[in-house]
Amino acid sequence: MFKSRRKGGKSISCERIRQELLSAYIDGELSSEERELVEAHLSECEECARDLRTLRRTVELLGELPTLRVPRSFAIPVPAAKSITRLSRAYAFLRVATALAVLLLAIVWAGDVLFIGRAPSAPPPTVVLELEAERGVPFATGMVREKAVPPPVPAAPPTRERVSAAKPTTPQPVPQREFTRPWLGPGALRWIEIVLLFVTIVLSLTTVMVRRRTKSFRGE
Amino acid sequence: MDEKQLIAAAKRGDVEAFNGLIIAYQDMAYNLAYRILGDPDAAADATQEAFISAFRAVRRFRGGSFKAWLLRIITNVCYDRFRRQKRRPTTPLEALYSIPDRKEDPESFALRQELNRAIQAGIQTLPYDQRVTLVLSDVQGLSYKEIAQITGSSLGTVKSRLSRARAKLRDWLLEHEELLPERYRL
Repeated sequence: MFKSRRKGGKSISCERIRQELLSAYIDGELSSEERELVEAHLSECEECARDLRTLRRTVELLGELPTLRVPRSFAIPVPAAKSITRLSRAYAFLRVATALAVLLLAIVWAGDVLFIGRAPSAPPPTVVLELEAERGVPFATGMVREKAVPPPVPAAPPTRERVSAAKPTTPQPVPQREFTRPWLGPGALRWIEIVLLFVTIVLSLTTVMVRRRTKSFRGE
Repeated sequence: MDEKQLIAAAKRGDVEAFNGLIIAYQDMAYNLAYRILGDPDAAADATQEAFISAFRAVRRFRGGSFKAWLLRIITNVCYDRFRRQKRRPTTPLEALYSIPDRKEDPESFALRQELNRAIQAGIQTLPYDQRVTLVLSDVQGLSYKEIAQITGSSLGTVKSRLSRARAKLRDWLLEHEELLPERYRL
């Protein structure tokens, strides 16, 4: 199997000939140097020559395979094309809408868990609050929420946040305004989350359905 | 209209123009799908699905070889089906569907059907990438460069896949010589 032959200082193994070169040799895809090497080897090695014959025959047979007649025309009827176009537009839109809904839900939920959940009762986790206030993170989250919630209700009952902000336990100068908004209570936020979750689920189900309909079209 | 004009019109949403392209390529597309999947019905479904995908995506076609672009879509669709049908047995080819060569006598037509069955069974034993490369090269007659474009691989990869596929198919045919009509034995 691994016998190697020498000619003019160059050696080449049967294995390399068979595995790498013969196939490309049949197609005329070897460099002239490689071709000479192969031809020299073939003139001496009966086994590799037989390998070439059977390989070439295999390629010939593949070329003789009958062509199949198409069972039907695959042309797309005009009305079907219109609905395909509509569906694929709807799909593109729904995909973006679903992604946005998921993103929004994630932001609201993350804000909820990170900040509202930490609103201090007693004693407050002062260090964490200080750090967050310095980074301005709660303020940014507050801005996102502002878009999604109804206008402030002036006479809302004091929430946990409000109580905590009214009695600051640390003498730091940064005001904790975000936690004082009465309309941003956990109740309202919970509702926003539920509505968003619902919207997300409906959107993703519709997207999947539209996707399946675009794929399931089978012509006439 | 020539191909370029048809493509330009199809990109503007002209279905009739796109159908012109379908008519031109459906034989090639269907035969490629059949050789890869080994099942006439699955091949028809895959071809239809691929043309619809192509219709939806033709706006994004950026020039180059339309044939390569289309065949790439077809091999992708076939790959999805190939993964799903792996365990299902394939149905044999109906002689009815294939086109006899001009002036071919019934006997040699029948022999070619037999050849087809044997070789298709051998092709089916190849791993997917080798199978696609072999069909594109030796059944469809495409160049290494075109195959590299369609399969998204390098010339070297095409070369070595083709080499392995041919050798494997040859070995299979030698092992199953009784399946081949005498005229076609290796």
